[in-house]
Amino acid sequence: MNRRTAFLRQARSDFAVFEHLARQERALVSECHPLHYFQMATEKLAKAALDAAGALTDPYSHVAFSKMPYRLARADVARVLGFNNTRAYRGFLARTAPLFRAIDELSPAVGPRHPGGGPQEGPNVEYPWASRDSRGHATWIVPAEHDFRLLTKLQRSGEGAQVRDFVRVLLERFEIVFTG
Amino acid sequence: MAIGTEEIPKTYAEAVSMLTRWHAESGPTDLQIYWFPDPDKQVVQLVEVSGDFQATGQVSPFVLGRSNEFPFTTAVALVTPEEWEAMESGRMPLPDRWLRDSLKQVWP
Repeated sequence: MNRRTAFLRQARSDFAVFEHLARQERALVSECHPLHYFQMATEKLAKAALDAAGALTDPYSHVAFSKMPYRLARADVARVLGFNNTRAYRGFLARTAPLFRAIDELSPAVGPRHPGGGPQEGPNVEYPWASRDSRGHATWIVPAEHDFRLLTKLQRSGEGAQVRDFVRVLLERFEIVFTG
Repeated sequence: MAIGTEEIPKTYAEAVSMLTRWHAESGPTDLQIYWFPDPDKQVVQLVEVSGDFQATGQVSPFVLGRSNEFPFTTAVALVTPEEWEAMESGRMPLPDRWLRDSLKQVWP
């Protein structure tokens, strides 16, 4: 097995865990857990795609999935992914770009850090971060107790299922899209 | 898109109505939404149809568990008009417990 296939297979497994966790009650499985697996699935998918293009230099550094859709804004890719309407496909990519950026930013490797490589300064799905409470006192935030509001947005917005289908089909049809 | 995040459905009927409205407001112009009632009134099961959606070859709902903001499970599948025809004629299977005979069009 080559590196690209290994990343792709791990991404598919991460995505399956995302779907499993997403369907659980939020009182039992905090929002951070399905979001963590979704972020990991999309990052490994992006790494597999970069590897297919011969551009993956460091497999352990962060890769932004949100840059991928721009590279996929082609009519032939739209057809492979099942979009018959190329204009609608491009509109979907444009509308969902902020959402894909928000998913990238769930990674603790993205966003501001304390000087000297200290803890993450802002919300992420993996590690607690320093913050201030309502009275201005220093405190720490636990990802499992934080409301990211992303699953709510995916649920209430009609685009939630579209985003999930886009990633699912990209994982399924990866070889056709990226290796012809 | 304005989403009233303060809106929390209290009943199953409200949940179906709210989710339909939210998705219709932000959806494509040719959007049709069909509801598959859950006999246990726990899961809002929708199939949304548009020529703008991806053809995936299956009815595969995106399922999200209930939360404080939306105290019902939601299961939303997107299909193209061609896939909807295949589903209606029985050539494309539905998920378990989604009964073809009970479906109702809720949008438009």
